[in-house]
Amino acid sequence: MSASAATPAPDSPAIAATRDRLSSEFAAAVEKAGIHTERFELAGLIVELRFAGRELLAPLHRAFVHHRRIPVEPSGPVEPPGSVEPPGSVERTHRPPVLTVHAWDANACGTALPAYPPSAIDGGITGAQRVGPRPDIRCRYQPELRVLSLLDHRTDEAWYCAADHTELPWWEHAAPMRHLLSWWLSDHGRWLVHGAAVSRPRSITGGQNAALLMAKGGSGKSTTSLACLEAGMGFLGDDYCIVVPDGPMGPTVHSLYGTAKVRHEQVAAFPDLAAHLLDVIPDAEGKSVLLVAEAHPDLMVDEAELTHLLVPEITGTPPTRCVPRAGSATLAAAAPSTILQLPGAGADAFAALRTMVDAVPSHTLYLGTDRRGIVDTISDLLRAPLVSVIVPVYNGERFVTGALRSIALDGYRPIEVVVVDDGSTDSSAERIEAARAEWYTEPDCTLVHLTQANGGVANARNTAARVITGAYVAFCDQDDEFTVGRLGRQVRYLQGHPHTDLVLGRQELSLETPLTDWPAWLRADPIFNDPGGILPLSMTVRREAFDRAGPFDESISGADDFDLWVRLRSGGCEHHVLAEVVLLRRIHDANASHTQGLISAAPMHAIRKHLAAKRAAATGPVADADLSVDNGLASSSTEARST
Amino acid sequence: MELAPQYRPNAPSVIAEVIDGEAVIINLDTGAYFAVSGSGADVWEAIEHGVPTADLAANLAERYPGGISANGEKESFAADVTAFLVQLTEHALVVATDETPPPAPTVVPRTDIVYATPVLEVYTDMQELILLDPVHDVDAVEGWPRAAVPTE
Repeated sequence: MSASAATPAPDSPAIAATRDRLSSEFAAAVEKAGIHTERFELAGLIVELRFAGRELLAPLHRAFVHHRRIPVEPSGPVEPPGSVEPPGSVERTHRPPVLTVHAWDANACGTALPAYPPSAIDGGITGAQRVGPRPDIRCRYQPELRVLSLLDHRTDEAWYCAADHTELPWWEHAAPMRHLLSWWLSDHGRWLVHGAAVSRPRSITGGQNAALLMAKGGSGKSTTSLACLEAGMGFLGDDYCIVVPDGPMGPTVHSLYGTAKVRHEQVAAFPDLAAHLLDVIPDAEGKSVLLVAEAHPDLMVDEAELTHLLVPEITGTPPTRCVPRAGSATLAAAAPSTILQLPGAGADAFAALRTMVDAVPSHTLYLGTDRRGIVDTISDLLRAPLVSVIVPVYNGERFVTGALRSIALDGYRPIEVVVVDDGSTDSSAERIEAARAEWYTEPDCTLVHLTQANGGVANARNTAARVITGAYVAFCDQDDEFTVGRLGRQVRYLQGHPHTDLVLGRQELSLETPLTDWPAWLRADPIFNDPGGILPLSMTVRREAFDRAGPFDESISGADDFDLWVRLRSGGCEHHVLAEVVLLRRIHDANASHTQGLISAAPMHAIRKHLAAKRAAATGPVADADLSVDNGLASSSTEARST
Repeated sequence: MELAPQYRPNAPSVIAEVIDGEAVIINLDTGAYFAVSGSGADVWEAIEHGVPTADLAANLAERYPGGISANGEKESFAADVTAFLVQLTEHALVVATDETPPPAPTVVPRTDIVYATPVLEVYTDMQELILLDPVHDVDAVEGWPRAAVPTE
């Protein structure tokens, strides 16, 4: 349940009465026609469908057959699997439902549609309800379906009463109970979005990267997703998908319906699928329902990391190409159709879309007429780039295991970790090997362990830099740890912002015993006011930019990371700082007792070097363009950090 | 503006280092950094050594015994010191202090350069970086190999 405060709608007594009527009429319908129950997992939550009679079974459940079945009774028999696994596999353990939907055909069960309040006609999409807190109970009557839907947010119970199942239009078969599910999902941080999603494996060992195609109808979403399906890519939906914009690993997209809406001429283009058209009468547009989950159960993907947002545009010429676009432009293209199609969705849905668009790179997909080209373009885009992580170690037995474990558990794949043991005399080498055996056993999660005579941290980083092969470079010191999903966040940001070369992030400090207090030298940064500020090596940097600016300056080992950042910056590299924590940094007795003088050394070295380089590049010693005596920046910065 | 009787570098917000006659000063609060050489670096060092404001001009005069400025006026020492101190305070590089001044440092006269009015170079091109990483972890400076430093 959402924490948002509920305000009674003006007609809330009428809605409550409708709820009670639906509840008693469902009981009566069960009495008459019996009950059939099934339970499945949807975006990590459990949904139970209770059917009184069997009339609504086919229309409502065929779109969900690809979801993992959950046994209904704790010790009872499991539901027969609808298909080979996965997807649609059967879980052996019982889990109670989060949402229970009661569905029946009033006509067949000899009952009538209960009376509903007038506001149910528009589903509460009047202005006040879009921006205000959501009501406890939401109710919608769709005259074109003659279906009454009601969700009680307080109890996660829903009712779906159709006047007559034979009147359900083709599109309700393709996307049943859309409003109920959308209302309920938003209580749980999951958002129904109007878009198609296709995926490819993220790594050899599992996980999928998905692209969400967002645009209004008729822009090629269905054709594109079906072309990808035909080519063997993963399919999550052609019209509606579920997005979790702020999952622990970053945004994820989840399948909702295992169907596609197709026009007849489209079916002709996909002859393999023709046998799986649902036997419903096509509408005037000539559209019908394709049961994708039945045609290709093996290609249905339940959940994927959302790595790309695509806004398709039809070109009419053969080639397909992909061009980065601003997230705001994607939001403008995606928000109206998502929000307008979902009665009751409002400001919070928009905020969720905004979060998604901020975190996931956007492209315009100029769709060509050559289907193979479309598939290849999307498939190439979804191929995850290799990230190399540089880890220098010297006598790091105390923390190196945790550092290496955290990088593997970050979850990004493919990843290559290059550990340089800089002549350790403790058990670091054994611990590195143990970490490799335990955490780096996948083909796309590898650890390279190099050993050298002690040469200092900058030298060790350079040793690693000479052997890395990734397209992006990240860093981890032996006493730091990555947070889960940080590499994906940083890589997605860089993919979405071609003019940004490095992405930094926040750090979270932890105090190691026997320390009991923060060292006095921990100063705060002006953006987040975090003690310790933003570390240069919290960065994930494009390989080309790193190679241009590098190597680390071994003559100022220890200041070498700040120095690299200064050189990246003075070389014209743009940076961005994520508001998320990307590394956990330990303050322990070996790093906590620095004096101010030692702390000063690092930026001073780098700034001196930078100043010398500036002067060498300039014609005169003080001829720099940015030289000024009073620029006003100093005072504004002072205010910014005066908290 | 009225100058205080004595100044000190505005630590810990300000860090500075004088190498080869040039002072590089970083204001960690504003992210600006500064360079000053010649007479300005001399004044900075004198402030670091606790020379009272009233003695700074005399200190400079001792330093540059041949010591006529470009316009040939001896009084320019005092005027230059005042103008320079105003700049330093405006950028919050120094703050007033009432510590007892230490014994006056020995001043070695300079023969290699002629006196010139101090010029404070102000740079803000690395402002954002300096502000984001205001205290740089210096493990590696003293601790790679990491020195086992007792906590207290």
